[in-house]
Amino acid sequence: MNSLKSQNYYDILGVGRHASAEEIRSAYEISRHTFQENSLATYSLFSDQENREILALIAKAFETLFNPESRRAYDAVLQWQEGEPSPAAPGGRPGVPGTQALAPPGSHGAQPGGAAPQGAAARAPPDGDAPRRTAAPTPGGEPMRHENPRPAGAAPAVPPSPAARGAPAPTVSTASPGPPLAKPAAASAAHKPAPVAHAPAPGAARDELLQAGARFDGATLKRVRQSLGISLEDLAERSKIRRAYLEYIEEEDFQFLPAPVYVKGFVTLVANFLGLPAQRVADDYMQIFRAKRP
Amino acid sequence: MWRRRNLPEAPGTASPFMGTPGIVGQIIRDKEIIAIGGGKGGVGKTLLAGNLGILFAKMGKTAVLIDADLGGANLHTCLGIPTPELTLSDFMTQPHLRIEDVMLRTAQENLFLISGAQDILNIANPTYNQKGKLLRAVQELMANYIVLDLGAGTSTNTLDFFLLADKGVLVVMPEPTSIENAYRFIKSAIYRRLRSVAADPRVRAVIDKAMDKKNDLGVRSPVELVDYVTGMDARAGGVLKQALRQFRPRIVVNQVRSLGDVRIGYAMQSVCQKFFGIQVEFIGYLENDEQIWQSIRKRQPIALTQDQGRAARNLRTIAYNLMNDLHLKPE
Repeated sequence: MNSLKSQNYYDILGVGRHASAEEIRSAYEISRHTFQENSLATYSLFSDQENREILALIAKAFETLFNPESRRAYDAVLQWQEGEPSPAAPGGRPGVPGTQALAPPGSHGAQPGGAAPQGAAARAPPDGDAPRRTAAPTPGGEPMRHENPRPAGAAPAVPPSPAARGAPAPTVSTASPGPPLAKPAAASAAHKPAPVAHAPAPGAARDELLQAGARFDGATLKRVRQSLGISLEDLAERSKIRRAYLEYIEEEDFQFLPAPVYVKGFVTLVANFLGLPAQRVADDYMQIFRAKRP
Repeated sequence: MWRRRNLPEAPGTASPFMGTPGIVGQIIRDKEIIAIGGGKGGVGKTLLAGNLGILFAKMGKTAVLIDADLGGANLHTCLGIPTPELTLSDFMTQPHLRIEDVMLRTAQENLFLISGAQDILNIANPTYNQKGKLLRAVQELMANYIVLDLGAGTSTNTLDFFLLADKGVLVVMPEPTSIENAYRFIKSAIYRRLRSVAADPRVRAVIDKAMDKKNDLGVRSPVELVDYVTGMDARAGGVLKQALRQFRPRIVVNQVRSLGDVRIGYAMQSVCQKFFGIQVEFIGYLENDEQIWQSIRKRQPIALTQDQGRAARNLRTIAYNLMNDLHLKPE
């Protein structure tokens, strides 16, 4: 059922983006009836087993969309994915790895961790993003706009791929179909705390961590994901969050992540997919995020 | 084009004259071809086709009913017209006959009928040329509404008529065999449409393979097929995707006895979207009604004789939604 994989929660429920809670609930009722056991409507197309799987997916969609907060987070992610074209770059989110060549001739790529020259900030395209970001109630929200080489502000160029991160000189990478997936091993190792014994059952490691009251930083999320046997590609496909962002989240490469409201949305989604308590994970992670990201 | 002829105007008599002054020689711009199919026999296609034709005609639109059930013609019976002299099969097999020659007046003003074939052995499998003659004639016919009553089954002729239409309607009953047949029909129609838009023989070969559920490509649905073809060739995949998007059959549920039966319509919408990746539209239902049964027995269509009652209301809703491109919304 490929079609299901490429559908967002609204499509799965069969409602519009601006559906009211009542419409969402009503759509859920219809779906429950449609995919019930021995359903007439699915006869000859879906088996009972498939019906159950679809119902589970629909239930998830309903839970996410019915709750206003999780719906907001999900909407934020969707909007990000769909990308509003900014004046600086044609189509797609500027600076998002994987989008088309964006750099006009003569512009330079962002410096990892460095402060973008004020000129770049001044050139920050007045897209719909700006007002939202300044409204973000995070400590240091204002300064972030100027100092951080936010992908859009730092000229319409693709941020250097993770592999190039260690390089001193800024890299101009244009039209890369996607960042190289290999990351410097040293970087990941640095983040890894003491290894946890590999648990036999998929959920065991996760439950252990929950019990132990672990703090959910990037590495912990990565560990949970791995213990569940989910690859980054898998997670990217299921959560619809770009693989690169998932990596940045796990490796805590905050300078390449977008505004906090989006990051929180991503982390919440990831937590849901990994079966972790979303609120707790988001709180933990965002604390680290705010502390680290200057 | 239409030519005036002096012929008696009793129902059941062929007359090429449209009957409405000003229509003769006029190019009709708002013309719609509507096909009523369903896969399974006895679900109510003819019933719906006949009554829709009458409703359109009552609104002052010129409507032509065509009984395209090659081998199982019933439309004339539903309308209370005696077995006609010249039929569709005559038109198809005799080159000198034009479509007007086989067109009959009905008791309803503005409504004309082209009755289906009587000779079962002869015309159930028309030749390529015969079929072409009919398809061309249907496309050239000057009327506001052309309603094709398709037969049961998923023969290529039936599928082609369905795909030729501006709006295709599937009639189902709330029971498994009908629904199974409807899905089979949809699947066949989709693959036939995809095949016809695919220019590359390799792509067509893939489509042919994909029709078999147990194919070795691992393709189990039209959506997976489109993905597969996109992998082969992005442009070809795009063409298929576009064709899928434009395929929008309507659904009518007949013999509704309960709210659960009504829900079948919505449920099928949901299922088709998930399995076929297409958007079907639930445009109405017909409640199980004594009136309908009586009307068939007496050969007096509901729309002709009744204004009141559930059946008449149901039919009007369907006609309205069909004409205005609307569909039902769950409360």
